[in-house]
Amino acid sequence: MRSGLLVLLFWSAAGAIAASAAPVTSAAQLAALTRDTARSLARAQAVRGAFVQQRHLAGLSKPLESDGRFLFARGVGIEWHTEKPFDSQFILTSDGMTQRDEGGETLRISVADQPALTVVSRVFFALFALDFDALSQDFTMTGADDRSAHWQLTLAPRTAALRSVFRQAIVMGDSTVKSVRLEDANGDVTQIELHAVQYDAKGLTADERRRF
Amino acid sequence: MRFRIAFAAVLALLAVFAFFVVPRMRIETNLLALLPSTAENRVQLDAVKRFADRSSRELVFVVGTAARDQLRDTGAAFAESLRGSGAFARVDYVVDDRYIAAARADRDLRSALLSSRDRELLTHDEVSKLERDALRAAYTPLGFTRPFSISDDPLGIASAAFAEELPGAGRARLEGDILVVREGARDEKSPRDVSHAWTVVRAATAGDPYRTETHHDVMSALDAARDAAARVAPDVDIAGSGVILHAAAAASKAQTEVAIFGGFDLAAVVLLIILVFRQVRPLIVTLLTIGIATCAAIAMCHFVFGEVHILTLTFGTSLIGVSVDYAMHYFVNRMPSEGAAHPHDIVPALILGCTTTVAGYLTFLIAPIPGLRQIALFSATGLATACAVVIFLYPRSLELLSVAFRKLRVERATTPRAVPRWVARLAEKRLENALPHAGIWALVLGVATLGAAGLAQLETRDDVRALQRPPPALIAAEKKVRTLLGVGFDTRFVLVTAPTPEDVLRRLEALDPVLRGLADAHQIKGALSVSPSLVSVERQRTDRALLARLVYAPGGALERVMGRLGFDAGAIAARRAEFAASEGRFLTPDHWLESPLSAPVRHLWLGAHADDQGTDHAAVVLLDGNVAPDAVRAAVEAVPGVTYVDQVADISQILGEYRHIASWLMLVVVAVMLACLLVFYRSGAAVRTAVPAAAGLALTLATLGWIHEPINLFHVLSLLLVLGLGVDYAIILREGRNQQAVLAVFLSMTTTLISFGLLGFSSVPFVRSIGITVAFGVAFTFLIALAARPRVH
Repeated sequence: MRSGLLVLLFWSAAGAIAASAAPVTSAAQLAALTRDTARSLARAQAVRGAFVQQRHLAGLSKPLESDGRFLFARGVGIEWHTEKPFDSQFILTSDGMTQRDEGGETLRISVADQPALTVVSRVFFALFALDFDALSQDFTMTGADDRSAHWQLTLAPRTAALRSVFRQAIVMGDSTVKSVRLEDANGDVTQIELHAVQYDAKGLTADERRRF
Repeated sequence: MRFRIAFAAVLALLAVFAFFVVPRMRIETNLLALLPSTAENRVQLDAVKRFADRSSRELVFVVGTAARDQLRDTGAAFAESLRGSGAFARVDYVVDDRYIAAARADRDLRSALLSSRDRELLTHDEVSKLERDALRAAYTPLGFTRPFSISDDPLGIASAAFAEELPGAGRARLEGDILVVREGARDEKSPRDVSHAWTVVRAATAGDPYRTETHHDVMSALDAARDAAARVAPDVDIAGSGVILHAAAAASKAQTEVAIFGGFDLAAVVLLIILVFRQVRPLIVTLLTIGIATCAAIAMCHFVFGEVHILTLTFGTSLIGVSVDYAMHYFVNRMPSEGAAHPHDIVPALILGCTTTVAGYLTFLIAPIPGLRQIALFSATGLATACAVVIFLYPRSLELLSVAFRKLRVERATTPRAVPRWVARLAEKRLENALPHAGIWALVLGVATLGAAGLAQLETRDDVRALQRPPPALIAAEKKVRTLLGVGFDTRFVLVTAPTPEDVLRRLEALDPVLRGLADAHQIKGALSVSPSLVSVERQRTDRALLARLVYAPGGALERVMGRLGFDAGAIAARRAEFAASEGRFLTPDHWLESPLSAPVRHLWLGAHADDQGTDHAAVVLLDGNVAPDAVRAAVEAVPGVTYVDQVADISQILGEYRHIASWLMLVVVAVMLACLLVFYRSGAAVRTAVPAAAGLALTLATLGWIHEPINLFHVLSLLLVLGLGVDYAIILREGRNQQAVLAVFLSMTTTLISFGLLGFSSVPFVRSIGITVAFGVAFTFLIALAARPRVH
């Protein structure tokens, strides 16, 4: 019941913003819309922060909740470090993905074996970097500007292949990206809230670099 | 009476040719049809042939441009243009959701399919790992990579099986809905920095890839598609790979060569006849003879082989130069000269000459190379026909022609002209008169030394390049495609045969771990097989039993994982019911072949081969990056019903074996020839007659050594042919009247030299080998025979 309300709230909030403002779709307009975030991102070699993720699955009465820390390293990859309910590192690079549990490597998938993985990794990279050119290859984007510091982007997959697993993504932010909402084709919804996001112009520490 | 029968026979031959052969004639352009069959048995032979037929329809293109944002449209323009041309049965470009849709539609058939990792975990009682992975996937981004949702596939079993059965795309990555390969700097974030981006288009031809019409359709469709792509991106670069491109290039090259060689040959013969005989009648009857001989040769190949190979025709142009010999002998013999006014009876000489030449060609039959056999039959038939026409038709038809000419007042002089003066002078010149005795010995010694030095430099090379060498542009394009896509499938593959489709699948499954082991040992990079896309019923049964016991049983992995995630009992029961309902339903080859999921490997499933000895089924496994062929052969052939097929190596081996056989044959022939002549002449004259042919062979070999042409089977067979053509020279020079003999041998040598010299310019390596060998051979034999001819008293 609670999650249903939550979903409803999200929906109405998104609807309200979309209704109140003229949608913009060009990459230049979108870049202008997200100017504060884009400016911070442009300088950043690394983005660090904390996340809370909720997955609302069909057939489940309460969402699956996890939290942890993430690290986006420009040109290197993304580390998604889940701390609760268990410790698990998920590392995504342009070559593939690795899942490490309690330190040991458990699973590696190379993009050479699974071309579809490229789409997942590209979407993640582009979302974190707010790279509209890269995103526009895979998505049609609609931005809504309520003339405040807040902005919202809706991304709908261009291709049937992507649409068959993934309906749309909604990204919201002000001076930083605040939340990402992924809607699967079958109705499952993943809501990711980002906190304490820091942009770092210097890049990775030696310790971080070793993890990729 | 004899003339009438012969005339009727020629008319019958021409009628059969015009009304029976021509409408049905099939010109084969498949170079593979020339290659020896290397299969060990009929099943293998048939399977290899079927696989070749299928894979020769497949084409892969990479379409590249520096303008990354234009890439999708450029590829689409190219693919659309190909599709619209009607020349292709299939053009694949955009990657859509057909695979996942098909997998979802087949859920009931696929409920017992396992990925190899999951099967491993279940068999080794490591079900806890499976559960842990499932929980991780539910909380972490791992879940996003799964095509089936968590509620549909809580343990990710279906997702893993699905992901494993689609072959990897090598270096190509899915970007949006197209496959993209980036060249140069690889930078995910800024695609504009990348020098060139390529996309992949696959196609299969609609028509038979070895038909000239298909070549034409495909090549013009390709040209149009290139133009269409260039309209979107002017800098577009397109490289293609496919057997049909080779076939089309070879066929069009061969057609050009037939036209050029044939035209030059005819022009040379016409010119020579006009220069020497200075009359129209010899020209007319000679050209008619060539025509009749060619028709007979083509008809013979048509009836014996059911087709005429384009290379037979290329080679067949040499028939013009060789078949003309008999006619020329006939006319030369009629030429008056001082002293001997009466022509000899040349029929025995013609028959002897024809027999030795035909025997030379028939030695080609020893090698089990279909192309060579066709050439031998073509040439032998043509020559025998030309000889028969001269013997049976010439005297009478020339008389009839003279009567007609007199009536029409076309040509007044019907008596043959005299031997040209320069020939008469040449006939008087003798080496003995021009040089002192010591000089002759010095000349012989010098030539022998040079010859020995050349022979010392002889090398041999027996490989498939002796038969076929694709144009460099095609090789470059193919290399581009391979490098960009990062897959290195070559002509070596693994063939799996068994009495039933189920047995083929079981054998493929037994082969899988062997191939994985080879990949782990870096002896191959990977393999492409219908397994695991198609699974044996036996394996589906075992996997189902595993799933039933460890996953779907009460208290099993499904219940534990779904319980931990918070699913209620109803949802768990629904999953169990779904699994139970699919009991007894299997993914079968028939269903699989109909499904889009089989498309990437469908051509590897060869299906049934039935004949009077029973039915067999076969499948092919392609090897990627096979760097240790011996180890790979040993490993895969340890599995029952599995054969490692390396046609290139087998062909090279056959070429080597038959080169040895042909070399021995050549020595035997020379020895027998010498023995015969010794018996016949009982004196040193025998040596004088035999030496030119033998020395001609040795000098030809020496020349090949000097020009660093590695020797293969075709050179050796050509030497046997030189023997057949050249042994006549010495005999005629010895037996005939001096001036006429010199002229006859000179004409015979010249036309042969022109015909085979032209073949020396062929783009087909083995035709070229035969061409240069015979050209050198007849020239040397002629010169030596002329120098060593006995004094006529």
